[in-house]
Amino acid sequence: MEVEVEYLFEWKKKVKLKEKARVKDLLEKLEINPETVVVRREKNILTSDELLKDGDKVQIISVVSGG
Amino acid sequence: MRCSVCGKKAVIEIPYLKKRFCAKHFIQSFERRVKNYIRKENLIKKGETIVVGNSGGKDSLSLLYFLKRHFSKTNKIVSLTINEGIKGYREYTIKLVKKYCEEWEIPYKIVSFKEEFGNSLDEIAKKLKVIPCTPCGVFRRYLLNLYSKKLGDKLATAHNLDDEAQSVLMNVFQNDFNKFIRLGPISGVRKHSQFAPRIKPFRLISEKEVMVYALLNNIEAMHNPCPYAERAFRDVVKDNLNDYELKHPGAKLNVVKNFDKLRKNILKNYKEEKTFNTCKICGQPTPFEICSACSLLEKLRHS
Repeated sequence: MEVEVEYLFEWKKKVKLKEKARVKDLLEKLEINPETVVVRREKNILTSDELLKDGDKVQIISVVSGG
Repeated sequence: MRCSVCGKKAVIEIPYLKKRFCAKHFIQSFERRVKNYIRKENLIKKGETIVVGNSGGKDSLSLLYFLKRHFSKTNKIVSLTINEGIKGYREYTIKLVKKYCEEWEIPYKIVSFKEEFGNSLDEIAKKLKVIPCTPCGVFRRYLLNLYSKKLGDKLATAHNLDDEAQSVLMNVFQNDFNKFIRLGPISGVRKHSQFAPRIKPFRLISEKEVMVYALLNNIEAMHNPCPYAERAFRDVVKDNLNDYELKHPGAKLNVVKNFDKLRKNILKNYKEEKTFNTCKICGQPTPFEICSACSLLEKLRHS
């Protein structure tokens, strides 16, 4: 399956994942530490065990502030 | 994942608390912990005017929102923003400051480098031929302190658990004892009549929790970091600390809590190495005869 990911407002890309992948699988694939981001789908915040579906549009928001 | 309190769908897992919360119970837990910390450390006294250093980022807007929500009956809350004059960056965050302060009916003050010092940060960096972070830090701290004294009693900053744990470790790695000992819920161990005490109500709350709190309260203030951000060493410490936290939940909190125990004991017998003076030019507190801001302004005049 494939999900569309928006990260840091800078890039959008499609990521291929195994069926029944969860948020933690997506972050692992992108090598992102879950401590440093919040993941949302349609403005709803997702926990790491949330199941993703084919065609989901997911936003990964960095929690790191910068002045 | 289900909320540890009510069993509804969770929005956050906090491994170091061994808890998962839905939106409602996360906000309750967050606000209770911050209120308890403010009470325990006596950060805010009834009747004081609290000036919130507001960059327009999610941390400071969340702090402003929290204080307005829980302290506006007993305290006056004011927002203070420093406009350094960074083209293509600060304009956007200032829009956010105005938007939220107007929406929440909080008085705000925006002070600019250009009006105060005659030059924007972009111009200062060009004239002094230095990386912008040095004059930015000096002038920003100067104005935050100056205007906090003018507008109120204390300056509240939105430093969170991540910031504080990073600072503790950075000062250990760099063997900077004086800076190390100045960290804490109320910054500064030095006293001066022109010093506005700086308080950090979010000091034991992780950066991720602050982001979730912001999003749940419709504070949409995500933006790219400052284009000048020169954070090489802090970023290394931050990345390592986040890796460690993932494997050992509670590591950041333990760094800060252990530091606090150490600091309490050290302060009993501590004497600041440098004496503390009043700047001969502007009257602001400084360890030197002339403060760093006035020294830089002097250099600017001759540049």
